[in-house]
Amino acid sequence: MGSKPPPPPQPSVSFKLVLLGDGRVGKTSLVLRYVNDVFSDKQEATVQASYLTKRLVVEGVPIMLSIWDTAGQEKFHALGPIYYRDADAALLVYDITDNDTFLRVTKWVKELKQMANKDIVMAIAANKSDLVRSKHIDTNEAASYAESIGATLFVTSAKAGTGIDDIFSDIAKRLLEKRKNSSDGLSLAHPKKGILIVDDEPEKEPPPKCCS
Amino acid sequence: MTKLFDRAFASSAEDVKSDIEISEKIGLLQHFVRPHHLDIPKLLHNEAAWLLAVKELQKINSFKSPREKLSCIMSCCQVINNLLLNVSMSNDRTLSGADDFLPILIYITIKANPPQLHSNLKFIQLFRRETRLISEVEYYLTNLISAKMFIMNVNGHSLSMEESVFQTHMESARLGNHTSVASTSSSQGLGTSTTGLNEESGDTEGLKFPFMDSETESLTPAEVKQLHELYRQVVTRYMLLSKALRKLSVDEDQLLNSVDD
Repeated sequence: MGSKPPPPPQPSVSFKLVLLGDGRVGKTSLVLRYVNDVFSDKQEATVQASYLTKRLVVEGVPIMLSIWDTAGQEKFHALGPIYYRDADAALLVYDITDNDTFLRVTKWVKELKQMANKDIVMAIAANKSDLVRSKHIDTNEAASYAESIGATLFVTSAKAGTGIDDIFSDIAKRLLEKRKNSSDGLSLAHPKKGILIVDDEPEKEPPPKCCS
Repeated sequence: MTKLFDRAFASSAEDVKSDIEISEKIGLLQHFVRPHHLDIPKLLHNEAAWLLAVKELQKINSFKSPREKLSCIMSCCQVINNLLLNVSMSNDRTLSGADDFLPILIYITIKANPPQLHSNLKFIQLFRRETRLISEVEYYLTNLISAKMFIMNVNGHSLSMEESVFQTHMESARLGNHTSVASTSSSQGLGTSTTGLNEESGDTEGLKFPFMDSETESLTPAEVKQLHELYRQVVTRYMLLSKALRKLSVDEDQLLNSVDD
């Protein structure tokens, strides 16, 4: 059970990405738009929206993103750590027309800094930009906030389909860079929780020989 | 693994205790938690699909291997996903994500009260080969783990109600459980009718006995109206109760005496 199986031929490097954002900020639409993109090489009918995968190639390296959606309503907030504990990346989504949803994002960022992976890659999506087409979108404050936490801010619209590919390729690029720099190298997936049974130190006496 | 099952599954006293705790808590929640308490949109209410999901989850103890147990969880989640897909297609609505999925899974878990929930989850996490616990299966397992966590830490806020209302509901559910133990034969019918009443009064009233401490002179016309409404409820309940007592052939005086004892 615990002995290391022979490493399976890994077709790609896989990463886990969690989606965080207040209820109804459009995070599900955003990801569906990304995954079901007409230009995607492999078109599969999407039968669910909570867990999605996307294959993409960054700098010649095939990458697979597992995208974990989370329930954004306030009452489920405390469950967050169960999902993002071992995530490689977090995409934080807020509604550009609703400042409260941005405050939720800052709350998650604080938590991620404390409880998530040290190297977690973060990106912030200012979504529903199509709703403010008439007005000037002021994202300066959000952008400087994003910079201060080492994340990138993208203005997106799931409806119009803008900014979505950019945000995911940015995440993928940064993930790949981190993975390259880490000692793990590209071939190893990060260790998962569970029992790992390691053999005891080899016995002092050599193993009994037979037929000699 | 199946040979080791008896030793590895729910083998510690702590696990047994946790299992009983959760199961008892769910038993109480079953009395009053309704879909709207968990923000499940009306559009997704589908008793038939939910029942199917409940049945899948309840099968979890019919299997001994972590793989088979996991597949029960997966089937349950699959049913929910199919429901979400159908609703989105027939209403031309964006496919629901976790915002709708998790609340439904929590509701299903409450309805199902799956046997030994804690031990089953622990067992799967410990003994499923880690390389197999990736991706989609892990996602849905994580959701059930978080549903369990939600249930363990449930309070008024997480069910969109005042804490006092929540406590009242829990208390009356506890009382309901005791009476159902005492008379199992007739508890079925009585149980459902009382939960119905609880729901009505619980949503409008925070306290168990409102106006008990109020001064008669200080009542506003609106409150008098409310009081009248409550009076009607009390009378209806009293009538039902005495009818039930007559059926059980218990005399009212006899009951009063037994309370005094």
